[in-house]
Amino acid sequence: MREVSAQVSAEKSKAERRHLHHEADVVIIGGGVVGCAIAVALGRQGRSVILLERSLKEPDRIVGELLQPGGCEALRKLGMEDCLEGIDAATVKGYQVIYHGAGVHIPYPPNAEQNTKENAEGRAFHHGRFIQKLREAVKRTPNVTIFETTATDLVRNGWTGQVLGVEAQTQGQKDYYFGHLTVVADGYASKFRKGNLQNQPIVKSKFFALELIDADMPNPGHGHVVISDNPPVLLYQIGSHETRALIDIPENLPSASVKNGGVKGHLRNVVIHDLPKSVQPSFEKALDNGSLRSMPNSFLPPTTNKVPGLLIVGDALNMRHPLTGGGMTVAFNDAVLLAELLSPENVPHFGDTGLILKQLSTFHWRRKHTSSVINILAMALYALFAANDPQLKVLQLGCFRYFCRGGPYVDEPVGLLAGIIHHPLILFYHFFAVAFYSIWILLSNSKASHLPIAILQSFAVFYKACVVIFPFIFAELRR
Amino acid sequence: MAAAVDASFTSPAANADMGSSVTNSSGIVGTILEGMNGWTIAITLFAMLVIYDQLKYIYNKGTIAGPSFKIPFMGPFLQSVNPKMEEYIAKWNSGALSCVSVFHKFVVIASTRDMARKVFNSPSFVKPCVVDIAHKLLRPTNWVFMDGKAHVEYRKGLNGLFTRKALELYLPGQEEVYDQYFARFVELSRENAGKPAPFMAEFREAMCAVSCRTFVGHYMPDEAIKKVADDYYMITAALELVNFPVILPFTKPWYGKKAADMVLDEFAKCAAKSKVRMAAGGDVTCILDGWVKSMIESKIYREKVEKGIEVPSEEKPSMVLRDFTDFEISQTLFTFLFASQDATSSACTWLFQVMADRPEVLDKVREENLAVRNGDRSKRFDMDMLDRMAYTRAVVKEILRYRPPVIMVPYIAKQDFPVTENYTVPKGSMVIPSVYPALHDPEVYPEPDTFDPERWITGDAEKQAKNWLVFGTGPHYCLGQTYAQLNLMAMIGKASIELDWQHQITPLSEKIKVFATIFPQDDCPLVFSKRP
Repeated sequence: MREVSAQVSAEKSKAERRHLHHEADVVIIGGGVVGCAIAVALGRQGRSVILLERSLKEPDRIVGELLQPGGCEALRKLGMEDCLEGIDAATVKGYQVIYHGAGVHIPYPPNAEQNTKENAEGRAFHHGRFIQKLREAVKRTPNVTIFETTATDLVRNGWTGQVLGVEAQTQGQKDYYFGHLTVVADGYASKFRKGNLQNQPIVKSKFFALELIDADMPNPGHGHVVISDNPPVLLYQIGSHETRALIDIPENLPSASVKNGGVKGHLRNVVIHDLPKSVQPSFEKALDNGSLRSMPNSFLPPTTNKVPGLLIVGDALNMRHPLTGGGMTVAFNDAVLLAELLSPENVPHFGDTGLILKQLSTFHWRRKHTSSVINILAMALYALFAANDPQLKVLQLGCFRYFCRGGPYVDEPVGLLAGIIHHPLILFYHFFAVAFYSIWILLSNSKASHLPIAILQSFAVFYKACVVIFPFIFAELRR
Repeated sequence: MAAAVDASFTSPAANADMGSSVTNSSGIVGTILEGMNGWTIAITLFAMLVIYDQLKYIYNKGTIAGPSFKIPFMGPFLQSVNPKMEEYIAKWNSGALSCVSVFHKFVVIASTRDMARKVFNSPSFVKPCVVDIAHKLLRPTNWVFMDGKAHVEYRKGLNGLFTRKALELYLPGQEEVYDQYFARFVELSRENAGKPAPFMAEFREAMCAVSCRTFVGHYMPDEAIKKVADDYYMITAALELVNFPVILPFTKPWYGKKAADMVLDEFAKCAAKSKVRMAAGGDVTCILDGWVKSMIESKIYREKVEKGIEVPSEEKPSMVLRDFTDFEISQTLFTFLFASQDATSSACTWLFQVMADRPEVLDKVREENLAVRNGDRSKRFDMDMLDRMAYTRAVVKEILRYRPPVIMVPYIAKQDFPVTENYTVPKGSMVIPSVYPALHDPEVYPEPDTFDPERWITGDAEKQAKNWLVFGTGPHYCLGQTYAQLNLMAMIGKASIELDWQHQITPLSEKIKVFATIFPQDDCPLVFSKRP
């Protein structure tokens, strides 16, 4: 009984320190996907947490709309699965890949880790609604206080360089928040990478987005990937009536040049003809009505957090092409892993900055089981799906045919993509299986007289496959 | 090629001469060298060094009191590792000036009031060195080691932090800490089934917490304060008068250095946070805030002046400061803690002991503290209240006289220092003015070994300014003396109305242990309970 009351009074004094002195064990910058998840996880472990968010209004964005089965599973591990309820989320049972008009069905396999025969499911939804649910979960969590404020700078110990917290602006007034650990979770356009991360994001294309109403999808309950001579298009339902269309447009795409009517011209003249007939009317309507929005597609390989007192997570730390919808899945898996590595059993006191740094180094390597797979897969698949040279086209065709074979040829690749298979070697195996299958198709389809050329071509294809995947693998192996 | 061949044939005679001259050169030197081997050389060198060490000591000692010879090299080092009050007193009684030599350091002790004052007031000859290891713990760049004009300037910048007005701002923070620790004292006694337990370590922690709160407010989280309080013990333990010349791993100085680095890091963090909070318009809650705020005001002023903007004289900061780095601030805050921690812990321990042993004195303190609060025990203390506590003030002054926490203050001779007509302290020696003899001078304070607060009220103790060396004198006198006395008054006053406590008198209670400052040898066994 006395212990309970002592705990209550300790919690009270911690709450007082958060409100009065703006001080906690952890200060998290960003009340988005990963920020909320970490706030809930650490708050429930009894840590004193301050969560800073620029605007607590429902965000309206075109990212973070698809949660892979592996992400749903991580959310469940965090005890936050109820955040998917009551937001009119659409169930995602797998993919429908449409290659030059021909379709292949790629359902999610059952999650082998759960000993179930039921196929895994993902969820797609309006980003803003989900975020509000996450924030509600934070508000219900003990030991966490949310402040609506804009983080402007990190506070550092001028002697040791340790990060001590955050300078902020609250309604135009200077403000400050201090903690043993500062978590930077402010998303893709993070203000705090410079000087703290070795890598900076690389952007080579953009997703342009439309919201289709009551689109007639060829395979409802599935994400649709449209592959053609043009860069890929994604279609997935995000509500009872709404379907998101994401159109990849690389930098300097000729058909999207100003002369050709810009992006809208490209969509109207080129993209619409690649889409399934049934979708075209709602697409056209959305083009006529809605405003076109866009997001950069960034690549940012992860590196170890080495600045004492600082942890960078989420899109601020690591990004991959959103083609596979892996971002939130990585984020929630990271939150699960961090909750374990930073638990009171492993780190009794957050003031032990050296121990936290050690745990963050462990974090960097252990997260690879999930994140590396999703990162490499996203980048490699994008290279194939947006194929713009003959070798890549060979690989693209090979990939499609490989999927058409069904069984393990799709279950494992889509299991990797779904974040329910956590083995980088399986990805490596399938990638080169696709490469060799592509070469076999190339050779078997060529006339006997063209065989010597085809053999030469196959070396080029193999070389291309290596050039595509190895840089992404090496990027993952960096400290 | 030909020339080279020629050359080797030109001086065969010269080569032969050389050889013969070497073999023929066996004179006296040769004979001596022949009888030598490595051991004899080493032993001879060692003997020469011992003799040099002795002769140097005797030469340095000159006319003043001290042992006739020193133990080779280390001198009374082992004694200084475990210093005894009786030995110090014997040393003071041996003469106005006396000496010892430990390792490489020659130490001169000034015992009488006038000799001590002379050292305190000779800044051109001596500068403070605190103790031998202090340079390593506090860092050589620390302001306490500054000298002359630089020191005076630096100190001016700090004066504003200890004014009455400033000190008043820190009182609420101090009282919060006392609330916390008084509750803890009661709880500890309750857990110990109401039996007496040594409280010296508890007082040290409480004083450390009060100091940290006063210096850095809430920038230092409670766990960090606890850690600093715990580890500070190792810093004190490392403070021997003279240490082995280098820090060896796993020795007291080594642990002390590690603890000091931790404290410096914590204070540097506080400095960085205060800069941010004060820039955001925060109010002053601690010494650090006050300092940072005047830096900010000075900067604004400097920038205006640089831009040629006219600044009215009333807007000019009383002291225009430069910006200090987090590490500089940290070093300075560390000196505040360094100066306060051991001294206030000592005074606090003696206060609780002496009050318990003299209930009539405690009753008077209690009466006065109730009176200044108009009988309301829950009233928080403020400056006005403290001003009206004449008796409590006398009690604090008397405890500081009766058991002066700092019994001596090591300085170092910057140059040969002619301290008397007959004796010159050699450059590089340690010179240690002592304050204890002056405060126990029977001619000035009659019956000096009796604790008697009345001497400050009805007696003439207050007039004996020359002997009041508790906080030193001269350019390095204690910057925090008002703070320290107010803090002790506030503490014992608050304790008197909120707590009851009994002291278990043991044969060691009045025996003095020297642990940087002085403590009762039995570590003060007490029982606390909440006053009904």
